[in-house]
Order: sequence, then structure tokens, then C-alpha cells
Amino acid sequence: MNLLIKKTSIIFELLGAMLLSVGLAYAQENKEASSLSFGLTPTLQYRYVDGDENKFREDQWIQDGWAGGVDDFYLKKSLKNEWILQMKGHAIVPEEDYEFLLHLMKENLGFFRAHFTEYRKYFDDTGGFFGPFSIPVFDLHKDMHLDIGEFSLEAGLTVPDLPRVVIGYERQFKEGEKSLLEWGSVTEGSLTRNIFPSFEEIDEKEDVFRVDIDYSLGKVYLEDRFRYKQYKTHTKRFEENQNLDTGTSETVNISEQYDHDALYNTFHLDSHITDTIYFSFGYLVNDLNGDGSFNMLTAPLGPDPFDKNWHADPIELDQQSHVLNLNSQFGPYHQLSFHGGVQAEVIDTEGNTHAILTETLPGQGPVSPEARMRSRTDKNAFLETVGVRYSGIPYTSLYAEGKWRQQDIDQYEKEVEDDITVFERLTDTDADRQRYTFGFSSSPVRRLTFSGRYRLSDRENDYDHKIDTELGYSAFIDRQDLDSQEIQAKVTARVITALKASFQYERVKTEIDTLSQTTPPSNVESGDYLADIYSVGVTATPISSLYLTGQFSYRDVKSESFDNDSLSVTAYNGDVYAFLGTAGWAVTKKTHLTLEYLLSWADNFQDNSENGLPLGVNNTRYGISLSCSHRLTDQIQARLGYGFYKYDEESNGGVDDYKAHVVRVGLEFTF
Amino acid sequence: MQGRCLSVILAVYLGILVFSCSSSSKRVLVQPTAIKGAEPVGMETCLLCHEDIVKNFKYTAHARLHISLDNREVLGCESCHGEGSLHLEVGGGKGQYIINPGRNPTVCYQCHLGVKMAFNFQYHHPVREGRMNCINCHDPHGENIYRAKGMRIGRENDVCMQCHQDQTRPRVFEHEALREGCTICHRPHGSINDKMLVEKDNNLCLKCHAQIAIPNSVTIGDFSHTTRLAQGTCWSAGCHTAVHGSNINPHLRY
Repeated sequence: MNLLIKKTSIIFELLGAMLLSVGLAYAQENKEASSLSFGLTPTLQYRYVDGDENKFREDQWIQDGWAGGVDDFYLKKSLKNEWILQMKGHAIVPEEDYEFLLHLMKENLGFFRAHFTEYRKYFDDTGGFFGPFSIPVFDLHKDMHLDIGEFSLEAGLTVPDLPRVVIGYERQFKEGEKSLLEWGSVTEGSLTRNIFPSFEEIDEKEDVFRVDIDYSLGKVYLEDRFRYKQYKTHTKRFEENQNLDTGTSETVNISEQYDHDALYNTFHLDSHITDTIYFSFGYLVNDLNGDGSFNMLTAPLGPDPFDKNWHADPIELDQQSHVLNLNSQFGPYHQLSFHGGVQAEVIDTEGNTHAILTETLPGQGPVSPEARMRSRTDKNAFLETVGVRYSGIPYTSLYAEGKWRQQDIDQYEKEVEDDITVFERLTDTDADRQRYTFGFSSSPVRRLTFSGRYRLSDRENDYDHKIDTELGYSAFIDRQDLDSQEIQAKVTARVITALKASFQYERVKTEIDTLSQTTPPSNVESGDYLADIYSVGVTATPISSLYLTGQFSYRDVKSESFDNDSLSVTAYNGDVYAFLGTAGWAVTKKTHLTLEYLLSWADNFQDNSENGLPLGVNNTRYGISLSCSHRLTDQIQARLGYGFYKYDEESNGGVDDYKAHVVRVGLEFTF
Repeated sequence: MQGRCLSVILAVYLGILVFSCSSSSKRVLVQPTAIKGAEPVGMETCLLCHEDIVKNFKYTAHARLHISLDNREVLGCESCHGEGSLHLEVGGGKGQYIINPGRNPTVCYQCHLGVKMAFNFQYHHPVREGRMNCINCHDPHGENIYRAKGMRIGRENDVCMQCHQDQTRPRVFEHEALREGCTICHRPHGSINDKMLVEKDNNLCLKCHAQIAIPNSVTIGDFSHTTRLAQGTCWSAGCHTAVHGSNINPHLRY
């Protein structure tokens, strides 16, 4: 409620400021010659949905029913003494889609800027699907959405030969409810599947105070960015487990509060010493102090080992970061350029939790030990980059780059319950990253351009568990290698002046090998990911009054993990096709038509109900919209639009299916 | 069904084409990525006013693909901002005959075809809806194309942290997957899976969490998860829900 009042007051303050500015702007009119441009586009829309309204909202980012307001508003006016006022924005109700910008500036002196933006993100309330249950799918009957936005004020000095200084304040916020994928369990007969939907209430805000300073001192450019951030979040998670045989349910509510104060400062310096020598230096320092609390309430609290009533207060977190980098570039010398850089990072994090962990232990009944948890993670990393670019081959550019990163991570974690150490871990991790990229771009003839890129990435993590009191979790991996190869090839042809076509192919292959602690140690290829992506794009302008664009994409994704012949783990195969077409046609000098068509379909559902949950999805999404604009006078343009949207999903029994019709009318006034 | 839809699209396109051919060619409809009546001026001309951007351009990821020829450029300033002659004639200025890809990603989509299609998947960042744009996460003029807004230097995940503080903030017990970056589990441009996940099933976790102990058993951390995995995902309620780290449990429960 408080946030609503605050937001409303912000909107009114901004509207007041805008109106005041308009008044001021007009007051100048008689004093000197001035130019004014002004535009306003009121709109009215109706969206009719037949089917799952929540899915429509999530899918199209708009809600059903009536909506209206100002689709676009702008004003630009020259004021006295060369000041320029600009305002723009839009406001669509009732879906909380707003933007207001006020910008007052004078060249070579300074500016003032106020900005407010907000939009709504919707969430479907349906959980998972399991066909064999008498109720195969559940929903929460909730209209879930998050209002996401920011408000900022900025003032800057832009006087030549003096440092450019900008001081600003910014508030970012998220408020509302969102769906989660942490689904609760549903039990019927001997089967239990986690498909019951869950959600989270979120109230999150961040205040940022900022100072930016930029200055050129001869050939040296200096930049400093200072941020002081206050972050606060309060979340409540609601999870539910249901038994269809007994009709009973268990609820789990988890409430978390957390806030932190953080200071950031980045300093950057660069210089073009000569036309062929450049270097830059940067330093980031960050200090973060946070604290929070955690409450988990299970009702009823039963003997199940997963039933907990946990309470933690305080939770304390501190983090310090220092990042230092140095980059340089030399060239071109005979069309050859070199670049290189190094970066050092130190990130230290410390956490402490004091908790009362109430649960029911088999044979002991309810227990409530007092727990103290502590962690410390020190990350030290060093990065090196070396690259070369050659443009000496006619119509061609070649490049290669290598990046290396060595990281040492000391991780210490300990949990003491009623003065007894129940868990202690000290792991020293050596992480090595290597990434090599080779690529080219070539345009041997005027109408043809080729480009290609190959990238090889290798990531190795070696874990040395110096202390590990708990068998298994969480310190059970000794080594992990992630090898990835990416290929990207593209050809663009302007076949004739009026026709341009592009084809792009991408392949990403990742293999993950894991060595874990068993007797004897087990080394397995734990993951294998392969994606082939084909994209085609065509743009045609057969005549000056018509343009046509079309893109088609096909993705073939396979992801397999180590299953040890267990039937509950199935490889993921994701085939996705998508087509997007747009046409614009100037029917007359005054009338323009625009047509957009979207079609995407996924065909990768795998019914693994016998051994687990189904994987993948079979769905089809359509969207077609036709809009027409007609200029009534030099100052007024009418807009009319119609859209049809359809969603079909076979893989969840059609509970999310919808058909929707959207009608939009609008008038654009420009002066 | 899909074939029928494609036929309808083709018919509509051909219909528009036929109508257009019979109409006057004096009507000009400018593509969203072109500036009506403008001619190319070359990067050297842009340098006259935009010295800081043009001089630094050669250190950017985009510059690697730049080819400068006598009378044309591949991936020069005008490839993204439109031909500059009219902008030059009016003395420059924001929005004066210049395309700003920061407001409209259409220009970026000309080359990044796969990205454009990803933004049209069911779960995506709201770029198509106009609530975000490419420069919220990328710096096309910067040495580092992945950078936090307004910052020149950053740590892993700082770009995502701008908006997703709750997911990236420090926690007492860290999920080590975050060290590999958010993209190890999420597709930032778009996905057919909710929360833009790479996969929405156990494959997402089991790729890294694997162990051989007992035949036909998925053992993780010396504990057989075979029956649990049959119930649902690793991050199901009651199990390892704290996928971004936990303040209360080293096993990332709750």
C-alpha cells in the first residue's frame, strides 16, 4: 500500500513537473522566437481471450479486457537562452505500463533529467502435468504479476574544458507475485510427482546514489563512477504438497528478509598515446554489508525428514571486491593490430547465520537445536587476453584471440548445532579457463559478405577437499572439465539492390566430465550438450512503397546427462521452429499498412510418466497483426490495428490453450 | 496445419506484392533500418564530431569484423546508424536523421538473426515488447561488449545483477554453478523453457552432479536420488530449492 502511494505520488509529481515545464515553455513564447514540436497519441485497446487468460498475459505481456491511455507523447521546445526542453512518455492503464521523461538541457552548460518507467510482467499459475493422476494438472487461480520499474533524477554539468559531472538518484523496484518452478508434491496411490504450482510474493527495492565524473586531460581520458546502493527485499514463498487419496495437504511458507548497503567505485583511465598506441587502466572497489532473516513454517509439522520449522536471525553477509585491469592495443602496423590485457580480481565473502532448526527426528520426536553457520570464500583470479587482427588481405578481416583465467578459491563452511560440529568443509579450488577464438569477415564482391567464427573453451575445476566431515554432499566432486566448441558461419548476399538474404549456422557442443569421490573414484562424462541452429533472413523492397522481411529459424538441441542406466533420467531433445514475417506497404501517400506474422512450434514432448515426469513440450504459437495508419490532415493520423493470437499445447492436456483477438485504435496528433 | 499456415502467409505476401505493383511508385515506405534520401559519408566523417566513439571503435568486438573499402564499409558506423549525409547536413544532433539501435533493436537483428528469433520464444527478456533493449546488457562501442550499464569494468554476473539482485547477491552457502556465470543455466535472449532455462528438467543439474556408486542408481553426494528424481526436478519444493545459494543449508535446501 505504501509503495502504491509512493508510486502514485511519484507519477503526480512527474506529471506536475511536466505540466509546469509546459507552462514555463509556453511562457517563453512571447519573449523570443522559439520552435515547438509536440505529439500525442491517445489509444484504446480491447483484448478478448477465449481460453487461459493467465497464459495469454504471460505470453503477450498484456492483459485481457479494455486498456487505454497515451501510446506516445513527446514535446520538444527551445526555451530562452538556448535551453531545450524535451518530454516524452506513454501511459497505458490498467496494466501499469508507464514512461515519463523530462530532459532540460543547454549545450556546453548542463542538463537535468527526470525519468520514471514501469511495466508489468505476468505469470501463468499452472504447475506441472502428470497424465496418470486423476487430476493431472493444478493451477492456483491467481492473477500473478510483478510491477517492475525505476525512477531516476539526474543533473549534470557539461561545460567544455571542465570535468563533466553527473549527480543522480535512482530507485528500482519490483513488487507483486511471481510463479516458481519449485513445485510441491502430489501423491495418489503409490505415485508421488512434484507438479503442484508454487509462488512467491516479492517486495524489492534498491536506492542508488551516483556520481559520474569524466575529464579529458590532454591525451588522457579519466572517468570515475561512484555508486552507493541500498538494497532491500522481502519475499514470501508459498509451497503446497497434496495427497489426492486422503484430501489432505501440507503447506510450507518461507519468508526471507534481506538488505544490504554497498559502495562501488570504478576508476578508468585511457589514452591514445599515438595513432597506433592505446592503453587503458581500470580499478573497481566494492564493499557490501548485508543482513537478513529467514523463517520457514511447515503446517502440519510431521515426521517427514523434509518437514522443518526453521528460523534464522540474524544472517550476516560481508563482501569486498577489488578488480584491477590494464589493456593496450598496438597498431595497425601494415594492417596488423595487436591487443592485450590483464585483470586481477580479489573477492572475499563472509557469511554468518544464527538459527533455530526445529524438526522431527525419527525416534526422538521434535528437536530444536541452536545452529551457528559460518562461511568464508576467498576468490583470487588473474585473467590474460591476447589478440591480433589483420586486414591486409583485400576485402577481408581476420582475427584471433586467446583468453586465460586462473582462479584460486578457498572455501570454508562450518555448521555447529548445540556446540557440536555437524558439518565442516574446507575446499581449495583451482579453476583454469582457456578460450580461443578465430574468425574472419570477407566481402570479396560488393554484394556478398561472409563471416565465420570458431571458439574453443576449456574450463577445468580441481577441488582439493582439505576438510570434509560429511560423506557425500556437498564436497563430493574432485574435478570437473567443461569443454565447449562453438562454430558460427554466416553469408549475406544482396542479390539485387532490392533483395538481401542472410543465412547463419551455429553449432554449440559442450562436454562435461566429472570425477567424483567414490571408491574407486568415478570419472564419467556427466553432460553432453549439442545445439544446431539454422537461421535464414530475407529482406525485400520490390518497389519503393513495399518492404518485406522474413526470418526462419530451426533449433535442434540435445542434452544428455549421466543416468547410470536409471530410467528416471531421460535425455532432452528440443526441436524448435520459428518464423517471423513483416510487411510494410504504403498503399497511398496517406495510408500505410503493416502486417506481422509469428509462428513457432516446439515438437519435443517425451512422455516419461512411467518412470518420472514428462519432458519437453509440444506447442504451437501463432500471432498475426495487421495495422493501418491513415493521415487525415497534416497534423492528425489515425491508426487501426487488429491482432489474432493462438496458443496450443498438447503436452499439458491443453489447459494453457487460448485464442485472443486484440483491437487497437489510436489518433496521432503532431504539431 | 503448419503447411496451411505457411500457404496463408505466402498468399498474403503475394497479394500485397500484386497490389503494390499496380500502384504508384512515388509512394515511398522507408524500412525501419534505412534513412530516406540519405547517402553514405564514411567513418572518417563521423570522426569529425564523434571522435571518442570512432577512435575507440577499433578496440571493440564489432571492429573485428569491420572492412573498410574505397566506397563502402562493412560494419562501420553507418551499418548500424544509417547513412549519414542528412545527419551531416543538419549539423548533427540526437535523433537528427540518425538511427539509434539503443532504442530499436531492428538494426542489431540484421546481423544477429538467431538472437532475434530467440527473443520471439515464449520466455524472453522483454525486448520485443519495447521494455528493454540491447544496450541494457551490451556495450556496442565498448572494449567489453558485456558490461554493466554505465560501468567500464565488472565481475562475473555483474550485467545480470543490474536487475536480478536477489539471484546474484552473496549468500552464506554459495551454489558453485554461479561461478560459471548465469548462462550456464539460463538463456538470456530467450528459451522455450520457463525462467529461460536451458532445460526445465533434471538434465540441467545432472550434467554437473554425477557420481557412480550403485548400478542403475543416480547417486549424488553418496545419496541415491533415483526415487526422488522420478518425482520431479532437483529444485522441487522440499529439496534443493535454493538454486542461487542458501543462507541456512549447505545442501542448498530451502
